[in-house]
Amino acid sequence: MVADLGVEVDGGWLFRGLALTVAAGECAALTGPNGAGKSTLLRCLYGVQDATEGSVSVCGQRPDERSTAFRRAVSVLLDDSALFDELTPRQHLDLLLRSFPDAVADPVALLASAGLDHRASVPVARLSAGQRRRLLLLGATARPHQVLLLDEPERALDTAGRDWLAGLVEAELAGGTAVVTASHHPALVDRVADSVVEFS
Amino acid sequence: MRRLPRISEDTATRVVGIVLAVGALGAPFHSTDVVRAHLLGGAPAPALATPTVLCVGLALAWHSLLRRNFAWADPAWLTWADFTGARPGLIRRRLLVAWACRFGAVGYATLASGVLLGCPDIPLTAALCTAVTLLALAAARRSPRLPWLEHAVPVLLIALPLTGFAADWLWLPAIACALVGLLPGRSLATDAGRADLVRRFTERSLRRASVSFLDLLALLPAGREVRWARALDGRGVLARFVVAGLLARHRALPLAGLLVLAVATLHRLFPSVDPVWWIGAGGYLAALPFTGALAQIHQVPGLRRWVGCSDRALRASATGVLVAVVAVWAAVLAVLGVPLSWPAGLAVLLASAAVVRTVTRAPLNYANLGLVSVVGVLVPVGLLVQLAHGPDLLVLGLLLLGALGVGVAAPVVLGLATAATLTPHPTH
Repeated sequence: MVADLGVEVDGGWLFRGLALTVAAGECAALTGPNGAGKSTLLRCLYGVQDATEGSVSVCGQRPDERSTAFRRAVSVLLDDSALFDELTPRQHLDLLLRSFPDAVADPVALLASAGLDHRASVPVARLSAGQRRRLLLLGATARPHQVLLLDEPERALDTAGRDWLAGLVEAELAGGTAVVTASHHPALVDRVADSVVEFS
Repeated sequence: MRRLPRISEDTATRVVGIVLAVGALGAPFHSTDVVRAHLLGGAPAPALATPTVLCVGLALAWHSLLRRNFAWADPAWLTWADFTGARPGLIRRRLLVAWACRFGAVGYATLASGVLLGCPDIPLTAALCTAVTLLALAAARRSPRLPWLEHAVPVLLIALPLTGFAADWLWLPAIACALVGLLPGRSLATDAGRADLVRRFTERSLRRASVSFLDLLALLPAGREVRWARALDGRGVLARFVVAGLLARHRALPLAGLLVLAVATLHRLFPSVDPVWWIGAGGYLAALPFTGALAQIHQVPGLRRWVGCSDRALRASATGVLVAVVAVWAAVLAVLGVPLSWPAGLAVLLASAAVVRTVTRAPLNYANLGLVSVVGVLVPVGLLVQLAHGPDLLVLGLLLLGALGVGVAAPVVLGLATAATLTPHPTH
C-alpha cells in the first residue's frame, strides 16, 4: 500500500501524491515514458530507496530489503538482478529452491516451462540475453513469496517469451500473489493488469 | 630575483614519498648493521638464506611474467591506429619493461639479502639468477607451449631450498626451465589476436582501478564453469555453494601450493619465528582467492537474492568450509616439516574467520578517507581502517595466542572468531 508518496530528484518532483493499493491476487501495471519514475517506485516498494514524502507498506511492514523476512516475502526482478556466470541454470535453481524454506518446485519442470531445458547444464555466461532473462524470471517466481515486483520483465524476450511471461504472471495471480510490474508492453498490461498507474 | 615555480601539494607528497621509499630501500646498504639487528637480533644469519630469497623471488617473478599480462592493447588504439605494423613492437617493448621490472626487483632483493645475510655460494646464486632470468624472457616471448610445465617451474624453484640445494635436486628445475625457455614456438607478439589483447587490457584496467581505489576484493579471481552438475542439489546447500565457489576458482590452487612451499621455506629460514604466524598468515593468503563467490554475493544485491538464508548462516557455513580447506593446507605444511600444535589449530580457525570477515565487509566508503599527515605524507587512515577489516582479526588473534598461554588464549580466540563470523558488519 502506498499513500501520498513523493520522490524528489535534483530539485524537482519525479512523482508526488501517489496512492496505490494492490491486494493479493491483483496486478498493478506501471506505464509511462523512460525516466518517469516507474523503477523508482519499485525501488521504494522494495526498500532500496527512500521516498521524500508519504508512506509505503508492503505485507504490513515498512520495506527493508536488508531484512531476511522481507526478502522472503517479496520477490523482485529489478535492473540490478544478476546471475552467477560460473553456474548453470540448473545450479541456480537448485541454489534457490534448496535455500528458501518451503520451496517445493521441480527445477527440471521449471526449466522446461521456460524453454531452457536444453540449456540446463550450460554456464549462464554462454546464454543469450533472452535466455538469461527467462532464468531471472524463474528465479523471481520459483520460490515462495507474497508480493512480486517486476521492472520491465518483457525486456530481451522474443514473442514466444513474452507470451510465456504473461502466462507466468497469470499463474502468480491465480496463486494469490500481489504483482506490481513496470512495463512498456501494452499486450502484457492488457492481459494481466487489474489497475494501471500512468506516469508522465 | 627569480621566483621559484610553485609546486603542487600532490607533487610535494609524491617527492617526499619517493625520498622515503629510496631511503627505505637503501637501508640494507647504508645501515646494514641496524637492519640486520632488526631482522636477526643476536642470532647468526641462517645458512643459504640468500639463495633461498633468490629462489622465492625467481619463482614469483616467473609466475607473474608467464601470465603474459604485458600483451595488452587498448581497443581504441586497435580500432583507430593499428595500421602501421607497430603492434608486435609495442608488445615486445611491454614484455621488456615487465621482465626488467620483475627481475630487477628480484636482483635488488638478492643483493640486499646478500649484504645482510651473506652469500656463501656466489657462483651458484649468480648462475641460477642469470639462467632463470634469461629463460623467463625467452619463454615469455612465445605463446605458451607447455602450460603445465610453465606452472611447475615456480613450484620447483620454491621447493629447491627445502632440499638444501642438493645437487641431486638441482637438475629438476634446471631441465624444466630449459624446456620451457628453449622449446620453439610461435612469437606471442605476432600471434596474439585482438580478443586476447583486449581481454588483457580489460583485466589490466580493472586491476589498475582496483589498486587506485585500494579495492583489493575486486582482484579476487573470477569463477569458471563448475563441472559438477549437481553441486548444489542436496542437503547443506550453503556449504555446497561455498564449495562450488572454491571449485570455480581452482586456478588459485597453484598459488596455494606456492604459499605452502614458501611458508615451509621461511620456517626453515627463520626457525625462531612462531610457526603459528606462518600458518595464520599463509592460510589467510592461500584461502582468500577462493572466496570470490562469497565476496560477490555480499557486493551484488541481485546475486544475494538467489540465496534465501540469513547473512549469519551464510558466513557460518563459509567459515566451516574454509576451516576444512585451511586445515588441509596446514596438513601439507606439517608434511613439509612445520610443526602443528593446538595453537596452530586456532590459527587455522582465525585465518578462516578472517577471510570471511574480509570478503563480507561493507563496501569501501571513500567519503571517510580520514587523511592524516605523517612525516609530510598524507595517509588515508580512515580508508586503511576499513581495509584492515578482516586482517585485524587475524593479527589480534595471533598476538593473543603469542602473549597468553593456549589455555587462556583458546576461549578468547574462539570467542573472537565466532563474534567476527556471526556479528553483522557495520557500514563505514
